[in-house]
Amino acid sequence: MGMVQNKTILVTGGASGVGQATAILLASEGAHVVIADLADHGGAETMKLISSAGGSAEAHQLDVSDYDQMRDLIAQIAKLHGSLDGAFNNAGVAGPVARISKLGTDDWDQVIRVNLTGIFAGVKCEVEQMLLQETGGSIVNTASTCGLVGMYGQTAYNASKHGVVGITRTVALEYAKKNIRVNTVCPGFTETPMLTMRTDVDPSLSDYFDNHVPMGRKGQASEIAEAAMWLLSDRSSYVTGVALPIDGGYTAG
Amino acid sequence: MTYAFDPELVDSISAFPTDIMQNYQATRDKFYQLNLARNQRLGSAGVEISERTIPGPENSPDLKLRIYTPEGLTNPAPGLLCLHGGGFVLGDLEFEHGSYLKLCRELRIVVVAVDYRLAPESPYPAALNDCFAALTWVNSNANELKIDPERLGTYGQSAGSCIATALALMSRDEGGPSIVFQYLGIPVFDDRMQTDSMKRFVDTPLWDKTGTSMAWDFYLGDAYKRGADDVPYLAAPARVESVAGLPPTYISTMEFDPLRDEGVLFALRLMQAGVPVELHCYPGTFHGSFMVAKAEISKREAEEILVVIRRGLHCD
Amino acid sequence: MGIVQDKTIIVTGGASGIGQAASKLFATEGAQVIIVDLQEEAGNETVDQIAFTGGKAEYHSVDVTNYDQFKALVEDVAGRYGSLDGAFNNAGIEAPSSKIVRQSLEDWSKVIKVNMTGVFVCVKCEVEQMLLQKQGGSIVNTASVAGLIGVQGASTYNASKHGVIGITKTVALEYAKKKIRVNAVCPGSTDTAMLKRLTGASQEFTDYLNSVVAMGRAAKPSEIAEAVLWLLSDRSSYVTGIALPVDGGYTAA
Repeated sequence: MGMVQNKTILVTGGASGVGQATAILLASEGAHVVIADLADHGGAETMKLISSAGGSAEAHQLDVSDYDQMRDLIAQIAKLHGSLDGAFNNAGVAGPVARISKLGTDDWDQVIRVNLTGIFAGVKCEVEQMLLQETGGSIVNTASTCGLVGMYGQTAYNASKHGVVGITRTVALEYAKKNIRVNTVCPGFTETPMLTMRTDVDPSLSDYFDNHVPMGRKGQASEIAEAAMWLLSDRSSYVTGVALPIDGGYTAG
Repeated sequence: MTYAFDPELVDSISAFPTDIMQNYQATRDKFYQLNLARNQRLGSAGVEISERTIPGPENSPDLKLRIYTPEGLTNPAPGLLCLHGGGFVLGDLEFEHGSYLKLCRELRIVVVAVDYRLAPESPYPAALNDCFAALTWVNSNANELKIDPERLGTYGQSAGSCIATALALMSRDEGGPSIVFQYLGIPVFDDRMQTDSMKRFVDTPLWDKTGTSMAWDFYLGDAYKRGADDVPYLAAPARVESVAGLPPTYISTMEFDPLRDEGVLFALRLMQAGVPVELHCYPGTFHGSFMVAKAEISKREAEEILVVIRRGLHCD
Repeated sequence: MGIVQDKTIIVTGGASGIGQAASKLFATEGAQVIIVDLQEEAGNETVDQIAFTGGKAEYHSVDVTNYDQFKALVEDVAGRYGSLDGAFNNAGIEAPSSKIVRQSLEDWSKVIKVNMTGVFVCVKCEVEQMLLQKQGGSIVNTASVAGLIGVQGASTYNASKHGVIGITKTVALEYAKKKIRVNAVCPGSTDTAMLKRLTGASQEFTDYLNSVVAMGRAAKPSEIAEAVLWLLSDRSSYVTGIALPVDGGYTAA
């Protein structure tokens, strides 16, 4: 029996990176995965990878910062599958690397809109649905080590990720007695398109990342996926309101 | 006259100002304030911006340049001399700042914007001489600017592309730095104003026949009369006898722009003279409609600007 | 295949409470469990219970504060099983609850010795062994929510548990590149003998403790054990130096 057998779980940002790895892992452990992404085909490639491995998934196009779209998708899931057992609110953008004096207010707005308001919309809709379910549910939000500590040139990103931790802890308190758990994963430097976007522009960054992680290497998307899955599963039944770093020791020092 | 504008543009038309030439001083101030506020919101992530004052042409005041260098640039990159639009009368360093930021950032090239003198206070050939001084200065100082002088191009929209074309002609005919590529967006070429589109499109948004005539009058000043035989081809490039030897060129035109036909005709002449040229006539559009950023047709143009300049400048 | 299949894992304080639940869980998931505890009867009984369900366990009476004793045990285990793959340093005691003016120096010394020196000794021996192993290993220390925040009446206990987190993060940094991971688990109120001693027979106090937990109840020992299991397994391969609250939302507030 898989760790998330028979659960219906939404994964946003599921077309690539951590989202894709998580969707694939969840499906392999028995979940029906609803993949949502801003990308044109809404994660169709992820869905195909899952189906060809014998798993169960569907894909939708979704703009997480659009509350109405989010609400409609979740209503659709509940109607079609009877319940929403878990959600991995993972869709996010990096924003430019720039110290605050060079950061545009437009840049700030965009990062906050997707990374923070998008999480708010997702969690709000998911909780509203899970409150209707006796079995409650488990929500995991992708924060970052940048949600715990500061990082040069990342004002907007860090603010948004600290905010995600804030939403998570608060909503966890609000619904702990209703069988609804809310947690964050806080990845460190992880090998995903979001990171290669930076290292393509500046290849020396790749070594920098490796050298600044105690483990001496970047994380793999699958390692983040493992943590997300554990938090989504019933195995973590007494865990709520935590910010779980998966960072090779980055925030330990 | 009714125009078959792209449906995504229609609602925005009323937001475009009218009679921008008639009250040009007030327009200058208004545009400057709006653009400055907008530019501050953009920030400058990934780009180092600096301003330089260089000697102007002989007997002329010093000239200001704004230089956009990609952060962390080590090896010499292609350079792009950018001449803003504004009908020879309007515009400044804030006018197209957002576009220049984007070009620098996305293509990792060095962009140099020129704050050339405006008409009617400084009629032809002030702007041209300013831009030529900038071109030669950039070429001479390419090393310091981290520009590869073999990959120096020009970019202009509207009146800016008129001056850019004149620069290429001047380099060809009077000797000047070689230009590897020129992007001529919605160009103004012909003070004679006899093309079919010029005669028909008298009331199109933002730019119309009246605006064109006023722009030429201001630009030519007292020295020349619009439409007369002696107007130099360096002021109105459509008058040049031969376009052979001009650099590879890209020209964009908008469907309902009085300037449309002179752009198309110039492109045809380039083709016939064996100059590599790419011409794109965007449907359902008008002069400046790319400012309606959310329309698909505008997005297509925004993407294409990057693609063709990347190719034209032989970016890495 | 169990999540810790064929791993050899030491559990200190493994004869009761969280340690016992952990020993059983690890055995169910395929590990060879080495129970270390000074409670001989409970230790042997736990071994029997595990054997009864087909698991593998043995019991040793060893003082975790005695370096020579513990070192000998680790060498013996590694000698017989080929390696020490994991360790759950969980043995710990509490001090009577009272504000600092009424805390005794004697209780202070006792609690610091078992809770902090004991963890120091165990981690030191385990790391020394794991350094000889190419595959490294995973260590989990029992801290507490009291290692993250203050709890009135528990200055001694809190100091010791904060100290456990200090050891955890530091040693994690030191050996991250050697494939040795060190993490701490931070239980909130857990249904164990330790909790019963704290609450006495007072239903009022029990109710109070439940009321300050967002989930409104104490944890079952198995819920803490699940978190330790995950951290000991390869599933958490990029996680090191963290202090994971398993506390029903207690520290989220």
